[in-house]
Amino acid sequence: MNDIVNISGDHEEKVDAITYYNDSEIESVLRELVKAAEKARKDEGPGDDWETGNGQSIRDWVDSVDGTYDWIPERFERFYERWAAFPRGMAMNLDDAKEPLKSGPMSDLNPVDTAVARWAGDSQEAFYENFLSPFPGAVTNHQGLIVELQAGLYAYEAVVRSMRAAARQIAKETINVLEGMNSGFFGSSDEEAKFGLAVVAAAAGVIGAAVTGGGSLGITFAIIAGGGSVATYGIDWANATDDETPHHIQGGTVADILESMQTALNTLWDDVEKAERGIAALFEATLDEVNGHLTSSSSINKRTLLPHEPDDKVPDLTDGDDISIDPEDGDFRERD
Amino acid sequence: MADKVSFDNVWELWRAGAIHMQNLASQYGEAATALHRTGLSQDQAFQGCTTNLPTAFANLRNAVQDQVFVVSQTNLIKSGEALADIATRFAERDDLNGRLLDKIEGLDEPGTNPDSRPPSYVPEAPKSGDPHPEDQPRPGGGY
Repeated sequence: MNDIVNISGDHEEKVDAITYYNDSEIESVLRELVKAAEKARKDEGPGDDWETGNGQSIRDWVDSVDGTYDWIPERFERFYERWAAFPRGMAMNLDDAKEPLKSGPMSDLNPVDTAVARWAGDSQEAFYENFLSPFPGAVTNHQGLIVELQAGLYAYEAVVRSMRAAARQIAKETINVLEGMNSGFFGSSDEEAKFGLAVVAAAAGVIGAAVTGGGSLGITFAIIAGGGSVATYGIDWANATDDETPHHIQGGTVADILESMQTALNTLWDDVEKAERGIAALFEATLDEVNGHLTSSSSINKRTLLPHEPDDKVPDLTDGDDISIDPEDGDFRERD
Repeated sequence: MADKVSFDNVWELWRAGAIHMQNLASQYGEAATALHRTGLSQDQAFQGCTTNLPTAFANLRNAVQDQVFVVSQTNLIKSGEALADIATRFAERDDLNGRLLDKIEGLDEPGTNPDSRPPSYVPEAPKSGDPHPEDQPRPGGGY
């Protein structure tokens, strides 16, 4: 009978657990950051280099600080220009590719099985061996391929979500440190913010999501397997769910603190690209696996993914044995 | 000594190949079409992405579409035709021949349940390089 196993994964649920900060939520923190930098700079004062002889009053200097840090939001833009809705939309569209291959929509396999079971003979056995036996597993693997593509998209969505969250966190931690200025000796800051950037961990959490029905695929899909079978781009996916890149923001002056902020942003970008390349490498590993099966000289390997292809003439269903279908030779007789 | 094959069994074998396996092939047409449609939204899904991730995704997606789903549909159609051919050839060597052909022809008669006929149309599984329906010129020259 129809032994197609339906595969599903919890990748969507995993990525939903990652908070998504929308544009306005991030921009509101960035506005706070600009104001905090301006205030800290004003508190810091013009410093020894400031000359009063140019006719500029201290009031003029204070006013000149306004707008000085308007460049800050631009440094954050690349971290929230991507929207989670886009990879999510494509992942959901892939459901339309998986649905026709589920056991229910593929129920036409049942009457084929029944019809062929009523016969005996070499051709019938060949049809079972070449087509009916491996085909349900192949269909399950086809579903697996779709889930693999979806899981990779959800892992990428985790990158999109977590880099927004991390950028927002960097902005907030920078504000905290700026606001802590003058709390130390000699006007310096004794505030510092230590935190971890968790982009790779977020992607790893999604890749490690539970998969139902994928236990006996006969093919190693890298992402469905939790990434554990392949270390890609230096990421040990199976152990990366706690893998945060340590960072902290510090500095004795506004300039130093903002430089530290920029370093954190650069580190975050490196993590984003590392996670993306890691996911890409998992896709490549799966593609290699697929190609290995498709080009295998073993027909058994090939049929883990493709239904049997008969030659153009009927007896070739028996894979080359020139078997007559004359009823007198028993090839298509009913079972005794 | 085996029993002589019954007409019902030949008929069911023919239906398995001519109807049910063609329906299975249709499922791959639908799956490949849905996969093909995602090609339209790929640039948007990876908007802003600076690494090789979009390429790696597309390479796997295209392989699934072109080398697995399209080929699966072709093989199912051919296997189904072969199975129906087996039934027909069997009937040719037996006095079942005329009955089988009559019954097949009878499927075209008015009032026959469409589900008992071979599908009149198996949606073709598109390849990744095929144009998208949304890209096709519409009558009247618009898009």
